[in-house]
Amino acid sequence: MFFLKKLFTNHQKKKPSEETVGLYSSLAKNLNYLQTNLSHSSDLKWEQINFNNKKGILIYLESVTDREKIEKKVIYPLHKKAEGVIEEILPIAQFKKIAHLNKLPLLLVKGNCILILEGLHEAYVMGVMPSYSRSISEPSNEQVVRGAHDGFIENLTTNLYLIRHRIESTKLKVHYYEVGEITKTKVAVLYMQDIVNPKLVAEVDRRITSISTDTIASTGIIGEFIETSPLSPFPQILYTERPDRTAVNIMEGRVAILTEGDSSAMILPVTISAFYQSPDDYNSKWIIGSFIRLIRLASILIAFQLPAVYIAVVGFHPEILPTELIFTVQSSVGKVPFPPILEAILMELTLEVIREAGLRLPSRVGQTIGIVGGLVIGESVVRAGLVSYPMIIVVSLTAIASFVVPSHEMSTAIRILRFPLMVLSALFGIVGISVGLLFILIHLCRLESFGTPFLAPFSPLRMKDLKDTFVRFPIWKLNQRPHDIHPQRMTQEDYSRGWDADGQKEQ
Amino acid sequence: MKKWYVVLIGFCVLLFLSGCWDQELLKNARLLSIAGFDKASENKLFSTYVFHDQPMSESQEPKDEIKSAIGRTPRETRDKVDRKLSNYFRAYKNRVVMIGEELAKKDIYPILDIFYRDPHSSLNAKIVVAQGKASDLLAMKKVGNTLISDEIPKLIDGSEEKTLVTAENIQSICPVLFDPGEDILLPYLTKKETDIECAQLAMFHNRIFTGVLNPNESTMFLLLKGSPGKIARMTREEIDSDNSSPITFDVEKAKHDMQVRVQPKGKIVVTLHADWKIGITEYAQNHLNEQKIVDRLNRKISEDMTRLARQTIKKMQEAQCDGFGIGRRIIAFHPQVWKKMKGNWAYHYKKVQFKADVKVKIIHSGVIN
Repeated sequence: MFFLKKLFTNHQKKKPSEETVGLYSSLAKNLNYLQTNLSHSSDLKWEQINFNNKKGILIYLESVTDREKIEKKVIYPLHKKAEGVIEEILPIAQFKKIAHLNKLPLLLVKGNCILILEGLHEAYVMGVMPSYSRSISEPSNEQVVRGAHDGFIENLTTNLYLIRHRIESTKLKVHYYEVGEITKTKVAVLYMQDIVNPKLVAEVDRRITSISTDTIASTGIIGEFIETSPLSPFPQILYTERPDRTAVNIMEGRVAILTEGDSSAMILPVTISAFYQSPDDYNSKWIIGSFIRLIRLASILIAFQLPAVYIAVVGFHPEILPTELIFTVQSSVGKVPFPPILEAILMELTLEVIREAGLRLPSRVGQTIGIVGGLVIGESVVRAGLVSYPMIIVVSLTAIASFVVPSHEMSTAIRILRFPLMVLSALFGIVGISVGLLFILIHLCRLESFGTPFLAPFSPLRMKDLKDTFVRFPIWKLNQRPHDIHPQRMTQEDYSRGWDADGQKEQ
Repeated sequence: MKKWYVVLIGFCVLLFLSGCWDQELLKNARLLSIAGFDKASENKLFSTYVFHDQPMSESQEPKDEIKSAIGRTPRETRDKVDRKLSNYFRAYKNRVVMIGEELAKKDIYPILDIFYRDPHSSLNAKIVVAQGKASDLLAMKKVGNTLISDEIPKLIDGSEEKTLVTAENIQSICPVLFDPGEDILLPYLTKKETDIECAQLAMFHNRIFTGVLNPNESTMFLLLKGSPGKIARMTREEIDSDNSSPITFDVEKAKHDMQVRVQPKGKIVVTLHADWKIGITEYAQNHLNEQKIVDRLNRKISEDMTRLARQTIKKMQEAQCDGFGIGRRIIAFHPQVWKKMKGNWAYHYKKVQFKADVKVKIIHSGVIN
């Protein structure tokens, strides 16, 4: 117990903050200080510069600065003028004067170059960050048929631009946090000031500020720190790489969290229905959108239960099979040497292995996996009499159905929960499945995401919010925001089809 | 935290405990398709069981395995057959229970008891009476190119849809078996050289086989009872016409009305009135576009059908088979009368006065006119 505690607890001892150090009058001493504080890193460069007849030194980290910018915007103007007021000469927007030497190393790391003139007690800090970023492209795991095709990238400013561009409102608030004792990762919390529930913002603030870690590698890590029930297999935060989805959720009164260096946004709080919805539902007409959503729901059920139900039927209740079917199934099952549970686990694990292998391989080799996995294993395993045909069908159906789930987190949760259900069904048949589903349902009922019940609007039931769950009602019927997040303003749409004289009478 | 460990360990231990594991693997089952029962000497039972075996590979043909045994009860014969069988005897996909004529002349409930007792048994299995011996029919193994395990259930299904036999199964006959005011009628299978025919009804009285209705009478009974299948077709001679020729018609809509009245003296009068809309499907005399001929046919067929209805009812009364459930009506509406008749219902049933008439109206006659 003590050992486990020791393994898993955070030692939340804060290091004492450094004492402030003023600038030395000697350039060499200053340079020496910086070198020491930057661990004598090789990419620290400096150049001698004369200005106002004073010796000066220009220091920068070549790896995080744009060499061309330094030359054009700093070195060239200084050489040309040779005299004058530095603030006026340099055409740089991000310009600061810092008197404390101890603050400089961090500024260097962030992509500034520093000009120290002999005898002056202030250093000039100029932002010369390079703008390397990949282009805005559609996220490959959240593609839509029609609609916006842009996606978040690894640059926070660009990502914020993508959202601000969609919500051109003065009420959209961005709140920066610096998380990570060492990495100082910039985290942005976005919400609509006049819609969001203030209690939710306070809670998010409380949870983010309590993070005390050295490194923030990705959004997912923050997610794990702030999730309400980290032991649950179900995701309580929606991760998305789509700016349109993020913007819509912000407008519903939810909070989005973006991280520097990560191309996914976290949306919270979310309910279970968010995990089987896709922007596609809203891009196409409502009838088609509803139909596809129902198919997705059915796929979730298939991915979740089909193997378990099959095991229960073949192992416990074969009498429920229709007469014509039972002989076909029996003739195929008859020569399999394993009990159905072993057969199922063997096939499911093979499938997971193939899936994982396909993910890691370059796309050109991926086809090979398709052939080896699908044809060779699928066909030969039956020929060899190790697995029956119905089992292959069940496993493939399950696999296809699990890919339909739009959220990767939800898809994995379902894949994992399938296994305990299979074991239960192999032990107790349909009774086992029922008990397993009961446990999962109980768990879902008590699960909450930032104070919002995970099963809202089903439990607690709110009929009005059911409009946008199993099916999607026409947009002009969705007059209110979802109630579960307690937005400040409920009305989001009002009578947009007022032009329709016939429709008016109906209302 | 500690509580959780206890629960978790408890669960793990439970998994390894041995206990009553009611696993029922499909691959270990030998599926019974048809069970046939016959009378053997010395009050014993001769059971014939047909198992359907689907081959493992696609190239092989499916086969039927027929096993039989003699015993005192169905369970005993079942166990005896199980001794001669690989894997386990499983009856949950049983499709037909066939009772030989001789055996059906005794109470049939002892044969069916086993099916009602086992929660796994298939309640939708058909139950039929075989002409002669059930084992003779089952010994055919194949009818034409179809296996007997496939042929007989489908044959019965087809006959049910053609309004030839009653659609009864183990579940549906159960309440009637124990009802003193109603009797069952079951399909009666006959062997016709190399074929099997299913077009007649076996009448029962108090769970005892008492007689057979011919195909036309069977259809008439089903129509009067108000339980027709999808098609009800009859071919009749147009008897007293000058140029007599057969006529075939489908009963499209059949309204029926049965009223049971008890007269003050205790005489029971049953009025059976049927109103049929029929379509002519074959009539070589033609001229059905003339209203006069249609009217004449309406009248003739009505007369013919009324005659058939009376003949059917008479046969049923002779066999003491209360298929219409007259007794049930009396139990429900005239309990005092029933109290008196209860002890000797068969006798009183024979004396019931039936007033049957059928009214037929031709509503169409095919595409030619």
